[in-house]
This record gives sequence, structure tokens and C-alpha cells, in this order.
Amino acid sequence: MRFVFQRLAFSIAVLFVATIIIFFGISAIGDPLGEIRSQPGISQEALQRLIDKKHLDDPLILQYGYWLRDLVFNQFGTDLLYDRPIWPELSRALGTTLQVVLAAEVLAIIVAIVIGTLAARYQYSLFDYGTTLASFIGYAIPVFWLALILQILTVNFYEATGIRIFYISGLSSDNAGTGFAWLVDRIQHLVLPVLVLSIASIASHSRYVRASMLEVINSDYVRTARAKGVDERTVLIRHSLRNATLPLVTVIGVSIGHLFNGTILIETIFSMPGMGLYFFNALNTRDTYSLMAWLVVTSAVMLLMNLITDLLYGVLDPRINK
Amino acid sequence: MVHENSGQPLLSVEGLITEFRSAEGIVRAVDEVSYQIWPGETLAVVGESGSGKSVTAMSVLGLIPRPPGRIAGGRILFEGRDLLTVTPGEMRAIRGKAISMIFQDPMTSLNPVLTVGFQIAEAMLAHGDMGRTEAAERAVELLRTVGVPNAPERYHQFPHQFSGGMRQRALIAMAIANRPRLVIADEPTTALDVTIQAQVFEALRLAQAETQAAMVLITHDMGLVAELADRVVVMYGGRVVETADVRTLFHAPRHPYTKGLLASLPRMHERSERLNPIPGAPPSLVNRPSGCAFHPRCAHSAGRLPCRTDVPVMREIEAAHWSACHYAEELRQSQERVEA
Amino acid sequence: MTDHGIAAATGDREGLDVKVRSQFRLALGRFVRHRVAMASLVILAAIVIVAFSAEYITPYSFDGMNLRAARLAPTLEGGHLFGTDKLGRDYFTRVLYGARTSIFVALVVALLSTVIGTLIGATAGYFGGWIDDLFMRFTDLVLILPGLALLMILIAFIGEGSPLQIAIILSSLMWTLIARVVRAQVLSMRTREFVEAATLSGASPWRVIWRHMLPNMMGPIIVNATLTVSSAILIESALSFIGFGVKPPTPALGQLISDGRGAMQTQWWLVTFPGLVIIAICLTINFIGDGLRDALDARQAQRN
Repeated sequence: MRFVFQRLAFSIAVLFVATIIIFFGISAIGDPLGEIRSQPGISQEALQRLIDKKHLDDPLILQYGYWLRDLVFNQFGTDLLYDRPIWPELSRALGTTLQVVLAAEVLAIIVAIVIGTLAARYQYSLFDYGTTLASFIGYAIPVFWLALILQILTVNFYEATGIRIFYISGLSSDNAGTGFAWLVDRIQHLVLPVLVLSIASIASHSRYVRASMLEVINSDYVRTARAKGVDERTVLIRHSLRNATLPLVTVIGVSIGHLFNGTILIETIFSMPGMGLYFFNALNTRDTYSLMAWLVVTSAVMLLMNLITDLLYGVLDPRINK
Repeated sequence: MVHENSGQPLLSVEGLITEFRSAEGIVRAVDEVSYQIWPGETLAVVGESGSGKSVTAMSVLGLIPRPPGRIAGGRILFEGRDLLTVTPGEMRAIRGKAISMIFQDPMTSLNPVLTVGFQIAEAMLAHGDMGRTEAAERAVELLRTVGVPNAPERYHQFPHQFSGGMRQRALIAMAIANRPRLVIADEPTTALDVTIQAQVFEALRLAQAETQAAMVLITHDMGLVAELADRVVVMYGGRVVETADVRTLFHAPRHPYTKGLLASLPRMHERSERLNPIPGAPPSLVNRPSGCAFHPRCAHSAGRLPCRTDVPVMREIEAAHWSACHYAEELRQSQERVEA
Repeated sequence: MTDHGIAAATGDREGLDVKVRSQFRLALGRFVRHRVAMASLVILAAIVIVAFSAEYITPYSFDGMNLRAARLAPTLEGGHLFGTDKLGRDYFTRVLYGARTSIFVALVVALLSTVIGTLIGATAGYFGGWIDDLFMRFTDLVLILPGLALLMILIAFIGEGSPLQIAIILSSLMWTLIARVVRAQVLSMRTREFVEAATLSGASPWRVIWRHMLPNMMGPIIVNATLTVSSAILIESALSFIGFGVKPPTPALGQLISDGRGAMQTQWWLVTFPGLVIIAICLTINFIGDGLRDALDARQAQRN
């Protein structure tokens, strides 16, 4: 338990440092009012009100203080341009993106374990070489391009058969209904984005599982298990799988980071109102406060993911002293 | 323990040939090896690394990985059945139950994420002989038998919490869990410190006393051989070169390699300034020397032609004493001369 | 190994060079025998040559409009291998010029990242202390913030869209991979005898790093530099796709895909071909990187 609190405290400390870097970094490269000033028809008083509200006349350190206070106690305060509260929209966007990202990661892990295990078991077979080739291709495909191609194919399919098997935009249809029908509709919307996002992760995770599994298959303790007369299926599940997939836990954090990068690209393509689209809009309007809030939330999510995976690893591997 | 070896041998390896495919070609790790072991006796199999002693044992239990390796010939008769012709299911029923094996490196032979106790119990659970609770109780008992203190507590611990010697003892417990009739111990003390070796040696002795099993002791530690073995098989270059009971082997070896092996042992009561290793290096199993595999290093051969061209066959030099050397008789004569 | 140590200690340049050269020949041999990597090298070379000599290969110019030939599908004869876009511009030519920009940016990124990464990584690994701590904290933070977002922010606020500037901005974040690799190498080499010998014979830290450690690290550095090229191509095309990369009129593959997106249902070639070119470049680079890794790692193992 003490270990948990230690890691939690450390993560919060890192988050705190991140807020400093985010605030001073953004302030250094962008004049918050730059975009607004360049808009025609902005009155001096409107400008002044903005300056007062955000304390933009005060020294940077004080500004940081106000911003931090808003962040912690005021739900991130309001955005720069329209003075709307940041948190409601940001949290909605977060929810949307998390659905896609987590689903993609879970899918990637499951598929990678299956592919990696089979490739290791049947090393040097056609399947093994085939999946290796597929992994290489998976690393080389641009995520946004794949999204577009799948959209084209899905629409072609619809035009040819009249069946809507997947949706190419949005999170849900307007007439989605309730309960099970709503769930099916949601899944139909999520399939393409999740699939596209997960390709690169599947490629990388399956290589990892394969390498790990090969080591385990040839290990001394698997030999011991066989020598005891344990049947192949039990050797695979009880002895091989657990040891081979354990290292995978350590790369989940980094993998989710890559997925976040991917969502920035594909949310615009799939018109999903998530973190990617939020970031895009904030950047296009140069709304520095929205941007900073976005960065802080993203960092917090990443830190949380790292914390969870660290703890998970500690639980699963008896060699780690808690 | 000295036994009267009569009746059917428990295990009879006959003309076993095991090969591996490698980048350099086909490696014949076991080249027509034959030996027998009778119930209850301890047979030591000695030789350098690469002599084929481990591969022979792994072949007995069907543990040779099939893509690179394959058993190319011979028979392995266990209680009359040829293990090379049984089905995989039948083989699995034999492993860990009628025949069990202890491996060399205790540090990596246990699964790090499962408790030691469970892994011992698994030996029993795998054969469906008893339920979980019963297997767990017996596992604790077994840990006691091999001398692990605090057995009930130790049951729930993980391998990393055991020292090397304790792990090896746990592996011995695992091997005798189902009262096997034959235990194969592959260099059980090699990976351990000398002080720990004594503990493991003791555990082996206790294990054997408890189960009355026959034991194949694969080792290059002649001290262990002298203490535990009834008979000895000497292997070199994938072949058996000499077989004898232990006293005869130590006092009257009839193969130049065995002589060299014994001569290279450091002795406590003699004053000598240097060790006498056998000159040269073990033979490459891909490009074997022609004729006798040992001839390039054999002082006794003195370069004679048959040694270089003809592979010597095992001949019974004296009662129950076999040697594969063209000039084994000369060794006997020179030995007798020394003793005279 | 001892020869190398003595040669290094006495600063015998000749000895060092001879060793490096023969190892190089061995590695080269190994690489050549790696069929997939060699095939990829040939294909990649072909792509690069074609892209950079577009002026001589196609009769069309990059932005030559011909409204009568607008929206044509790809044909084998008729001179429009990749079809035309809505303004009648030959798409094959546009893709070639776009590939040229992307490859240029990627090469510059790889070069800069390698240089910066090697310098910083070697410094952090060799001197340790607060420099190393700072470096590690920095890379940790880079890991928790999404890289694409940071790049987009940088480009939005201080970017003008020239390929060179885009390349510099990309390098400012992408050097961390090579830096980590170099740091790890330096750390492991710091305690080896030939380094101790060199230090004891009075060589300054920089000389030690440059003359003695660096040649031993070339393998991992080259492999990672290669992988950086393919990462850079993907990131650059992603950025130009969403409008935060190379700005028109300079052509870029991502830009082409973005432009063609509106008509992609009917004029599928607008989106498909630039993407296929990206895949071809990245795939060949990755295979080459894999071949290099095999060729050079064995060399490292031999050295030890």
C-alpha cells in the first residue's frame, strides 16, 4: 500500500512540474492575444476586459498562479476567446477519446497475444513469415491514409449492397434508439477508428509477444514442466502465456501515448468530437488557455496510465517487492 | 549399494542415434549408444561437455526438440516397452511418474511466477492421481524429505525466495513425487557452489533411499561418482567408450580416455605441482575425426593406423567390463605390470 | 580485443582504422546476403532517383494545368500514370515532387537528430551527474506529452512552412531516441578497459568519446538513424495532411492526400497513390534498417 501512495505522490509531483513547463512553454512561444488582436472590429474595451480577467498585465509568475488556481479549484477556468468554461467540453471530449483509445489498446493486446503466440509456436512457418511481413507493413502505413481508404471501401460497400456495416463519421447516429440497439450502433461507429488506430500497436505488440514467447518456449522451466508430464495445453496456458505476456504490460503506457497521437489525426477524419478535434480547434483559434488545459489533461491521463501499468506489473510479477 | 544385476534391466538403451540439424551440417550428438540400468542401482554416466550424455537422457524422456533434433535410430526399452514407439500420450504418462528427471541449472528450472510448492504438487496433479489438497500436503512432506526447513511456510514461497541449493532440492522433491522407478539426474550439482553441492548430494541420497529408484547420474564430478555410483558408463564424442562397476573403473580403467580422466583429477595425498589435463580439445561433432574419436588426443594410440581408420567397437574385456579401444588389452598388461 | 586496446591507448590511429575497415567489410558482406534488405535498397534507390530527377522523367510540370484533361483516371498509355487532378495536373508528377519534399525533410531530420542526439546522449552518459539527470527528466516528460501535439503547437506558433524549418522543428523532438541509445552505449563502455587505457594515457574526454567510443557505437546509431528516417516521413506527411506541415505551393505527399480527400470517392487515385508511395518508402527503409541491424549487430558481438 505504501508503494501505491509513493508512486501516486511521485506522479502528482511530475504533473505539477508538467504544468509549469506547459504554462511557461506556451507563454514563451505564443502571445495569447495575438489572434484576437488580429481580428477586425475588436474594441479596446473588450480587449481590456480580457486582459483584466486573465490578469495578462501581471508578471508571468502571478499569471501562472492564477491559472493553477483555476485549474485545481475552478475546473480549468474559462477559455480565452469566448469565456466559456473549459471543463465540460473537455471532459466530454476526453470520454469520447478514451472509448476509442482504450478499445484500440485492448484489441491490439488480444490480437497481438494470439498472433505472437502462434508465430512463436510455429516459428519459421508460413504463418510466422506472413505475420512478420504484415507487421513491417503495419509499421509503414500512415494512419490517416488508412482511415481514408477504409472510408472509401465502406462507402463503396454500402453503395454496392445497400448495407451499412460500419459508419464513417460521428460517435452515434441520431436515431440510434436505446439499450442493445444503441450499443450496436455505437459499435458500428467505433469499429473503423478503433481498427485504424490499433494497426500500429498490433504490429509492435505482436513482435514483442513473439520474441517473449520464443524465449519462454525454450526456457528451462517449460522443459521442467514437460518433464513432469504436464500436458501441452497446460504448459501453454499456465507456464508460457503468463510469463510471455507479462513484459507487455510495461509497454502499454508508451503505446497509449502513440494512440493519443493517432487520435489527433483520425478524429478529424471520422468527425469524432474527442480530444483530437478539441485540440485542433483550440490550436486553430490559438486559444492558449484551452491548449494548456488540454495538455495538462493529456499528461494527467498518461501519468495515470503509467501508474496503473506499474502497479499492475507489481501485482502480476511475484518477483517485485511491494 | 551393490546389486546383483540379474533379470531384465529396467532401462535398456540400444544403439541410440540422435542427430541435430545445424548451420554447419548434421550433428550426431549420440552415435549408437547402448547401456543398461537395473532396478535400484545407480549408474553414473560421465564425460566432457559435448560427449552426448545429456542428449541421451533427454532422448529417453522424449524431450529432444523436434525441429532441429531427431532420433535417427535405435531402441529405448523401458520395462520391456520401446519408448521410441509409444504414443505422445503414453510418453506423457511416463514422464514425471515412472521416469523423472532432474536438470542442471536450478536457477532457471523453476517457473518464477508460480509458488514452489505448487510446482511440486503439479507433478502429482499432472497425472491426475490425487486432488489439490492431497497433492499440496504431499508436496510439503516431500520438501521435508529433501531437507528444506520450515516446509509448510516454504510451500507458499516463490523460487526467487529460495537459494540455489534449496531450489535444486525442491526440484529433487518434484522428481520423486510420484515414486518413479527411474530418476535421471543431469549434472545436479554442477551449477552450484561446492558447499551447497554437499547438501544436494545429501538430498539425492535421501531421495534414493526413500524411493528405492534406479538413478542415472550424469556428471563429470568423479567424486560424486565414487560416492554414489554402482556402475559407470564413460562417454566420449557421442559414443560409449567404457562400462564397468565403479571400483573396477577407478582401479583398473581399460580405456585411454578414462585413464586420462582419472589422472587429471587433483589428488589430496599426493604431492604434485601441476594438474594433468588431457591434451587437446573435445572433438567437433560435425567433423568427427576418422576412426576412433579419441585418437588425436590419445597417448596410448601413438598414431597407430587402426586407431585412425577403424571405429572401435565395445568389447567385453573382463566380466561386466566393456571397453571400446583397439588396444584395451595393452592397458591391462601395463596396469598389471604396475601392480606387480 | 587486446590489440585494439593497445592501439587505442597509444593513440595509434593506423591500428584503429585497419580494424574498423575490416569489420566494415564483414558487415557489408552480411548485409549483402540479406536478400530482402538488398531488394529494398534497390527499390528505395529507384524511388529516390526518380523523385529527385522528376524534371527529366516526366514531360509535365508540377503545376501545369490542363483543364481539358481534368479528373482522368490512371491509364497506362495516354501518359497519365497516376491520373490527373481536378485542374488537369498530371498526378504522377505531383506525387514525384511531393515525394522529393518528404524525403528531403526526412533526411534532414535524421541527420540533425543523429548529430544532436549523439552529442547530448554521449555527454549525459559520459559525464553523468546533473547533466544526465536533466536529460532523463526531459525524456520522461517528452514521453508523457503527445509528440504530435507538441510539434503542431510549435509549428502553429513559430512555423512558416518551409521544408527546412519543418525538418528543424521535427528534429527538436526526435533526437531523444538516438540520445537514449547513445547514452546507454556510452554508459556500458565507460567501464571497459580500452576506455580506461585511453583516459589514463591522458586523452581528453572528447577525444575518448570521439576516437574510441564512437566507432564502437556506429552500429546502433546507424540502425536508429535509419528508423528515424521512416518515422520522419510518417510524421511529416501526417503534419502536412492536417495543414501543419510544409505549406503550399511546396508540394508534399500529405498535402496531396488532404487535397484529394474531397473527391476521394470518385477520384480514388488522388488519395491512394501518395499513400502507396509513403508506404513503399517506409517499408523499404524498415527492411533496410532490419538488414543493417543484423549485419552490424553480429559485428558488435564479434568485437566483444
